[in-house]
Amino acid sequence: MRAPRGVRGLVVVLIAVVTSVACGGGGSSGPPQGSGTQSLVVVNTGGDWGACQRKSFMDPFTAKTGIKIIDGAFLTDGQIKAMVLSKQYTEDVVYPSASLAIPSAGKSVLEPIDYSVVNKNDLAAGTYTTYGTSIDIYAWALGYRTDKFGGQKPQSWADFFDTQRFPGKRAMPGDNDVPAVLYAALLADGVTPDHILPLDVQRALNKLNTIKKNIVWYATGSQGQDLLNSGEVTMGEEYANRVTSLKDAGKPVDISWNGQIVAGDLLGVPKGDPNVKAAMQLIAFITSKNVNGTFSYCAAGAPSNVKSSPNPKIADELPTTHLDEPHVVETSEALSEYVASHLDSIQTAFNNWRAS
Amino acid sequence: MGWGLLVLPAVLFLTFFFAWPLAELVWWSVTSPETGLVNYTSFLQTPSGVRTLVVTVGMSALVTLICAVVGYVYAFAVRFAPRRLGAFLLIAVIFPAGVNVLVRTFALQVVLRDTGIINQLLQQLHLISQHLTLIRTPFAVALGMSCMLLPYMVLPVYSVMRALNLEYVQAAASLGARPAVAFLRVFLPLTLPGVFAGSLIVFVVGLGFYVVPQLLGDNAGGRFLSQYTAFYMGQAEWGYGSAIGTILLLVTLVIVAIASRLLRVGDILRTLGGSR
Repeated sequence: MRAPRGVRGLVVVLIAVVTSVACGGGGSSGPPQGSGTQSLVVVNTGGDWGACQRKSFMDPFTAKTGIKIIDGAFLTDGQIKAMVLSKQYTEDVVYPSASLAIPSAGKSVLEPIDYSVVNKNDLAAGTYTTYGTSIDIYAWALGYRTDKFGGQKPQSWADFFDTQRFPGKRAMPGDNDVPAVLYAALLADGVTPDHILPLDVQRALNKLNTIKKNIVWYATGSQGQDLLNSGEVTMGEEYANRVTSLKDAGKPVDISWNGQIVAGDLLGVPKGDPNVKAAMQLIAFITSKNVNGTFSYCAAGAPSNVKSSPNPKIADELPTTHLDEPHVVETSEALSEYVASHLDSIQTAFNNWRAS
Repeated sequence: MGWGLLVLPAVLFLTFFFAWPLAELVWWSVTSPETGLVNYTSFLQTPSGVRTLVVTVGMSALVTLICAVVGYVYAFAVRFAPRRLGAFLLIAVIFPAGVNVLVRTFALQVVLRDTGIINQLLQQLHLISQHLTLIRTPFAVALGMSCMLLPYMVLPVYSVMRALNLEYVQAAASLGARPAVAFLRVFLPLTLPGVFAGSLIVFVVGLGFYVVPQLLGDNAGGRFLSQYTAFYMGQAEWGYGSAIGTILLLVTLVIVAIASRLLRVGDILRTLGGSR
């Protein structure tokens, strides 16, 4: 028996109103902000990753609160700023970069994360800032072909820069994440992770210069994956999950976690967004310990909540399993602050070197 | 009055969706983050910025030259081919333009790369032992851009050839000119306006190419526009991004102005309009 359309609609509205009043804490004294939220537009980057996010986070949130989640396109920091400036809020939850989600850059663009709702005590270090909380943890790591070096295995960024022992081209995300390229070069040159700051850009560029002719720059994760998969490069600084998924598919590739560059995918809310309360609720829900780990059952993303339990079957593929090896936490507040305040000079020095 | 009403929609459209945003672009470039020419001076002091501008303009000029030579020969073949073959040749050059540039560029990537079709074939035939370096070179960018832009050269050249009265050539022949002379002194000069018109389109459109240099080039020199978008969209450096956009616009306008002086664009447009 199906209820007539009008009745069903009314029920949905009633549920939405009741739950948002109940969950939003919209008492008579508080402002009505967010209490009428029936839907949130949240960035979804698509693919298996996006489908998995919907399955593990968005649909359960709707089931619990009645608030519908609508997929939105990825917005760059510039687009987020434009949205806030024009007060045309097309998305409620966005992915700001780590250099936007810090106090100096974020305060005019993002709502501070409400840590009375979001429990940051359970979150891994370096995965939350004043203006952003990580939905998951990913990493840049060394991916390599197992069929090109006669059985020898590269074990570090130093090997990555050794084109004598390990011939061939190298994929690097120069059109995606310049700091990650510089960190890899510094680690290869013998800098230890705790001495990455202050960033010696010139030293990194000098190191990169030794293999400049071998580097193939790429912009997106799929391009980097394709370069490794086709054998166009023999090694790459790659998204770790891109390498492990190739390995799972039976391709002759493997990963070295030594010197991985770990980062969180930050969620943020545009400043002045009318649905800020519901958005904070969603972020709290996603990062809660019972929910956050479920993502790893459909994609190789590690939970940012240390108390949640990720899929034991893919534990070896998660960056968080390999934190006993030397690594750099890219989204730590210290590194983010440093990079954000030097971004212009870093980018300019890199561009000038690259074009020379 | 009637004429005024007729053009009003077009004028309004261009004002709101073209002139206004453009004016805002220029405005941002001199006001953000502060009033003055800071963005312009800092761009001119950045070696990579100036270099990429030179490479972008140079590459566009090279592609224009390639398209002019190849396009002229092609249009000539279409003009004098038997009817059906001519129609086929024309469709063959127009049809690919309907396929997304991104898709065609990826296809070229598969053909050109170190592990691509050309290199695999040559290696399997034992013609080469080491792969040829085709991709991530200026050669690959020039090839890719020429492929995409060729129709914009062929069509105007063909339309001029089509409109040309062949009796002029016959007259030259009857006055004793050998075929080569008749071509060089009669046919070529009369069809050159089509080449100029095509060159103008190819050059200007070529300056705005983004995907092809990004996917086929070495991503070091020819990245003028990717730099533009990186600053403009990614880092929210709107003032600086606007300045780069304005500089490209000015460079384009200057080059087009000089070219139209030299080539008398008025004549070209008349040729394209079909009035003889």
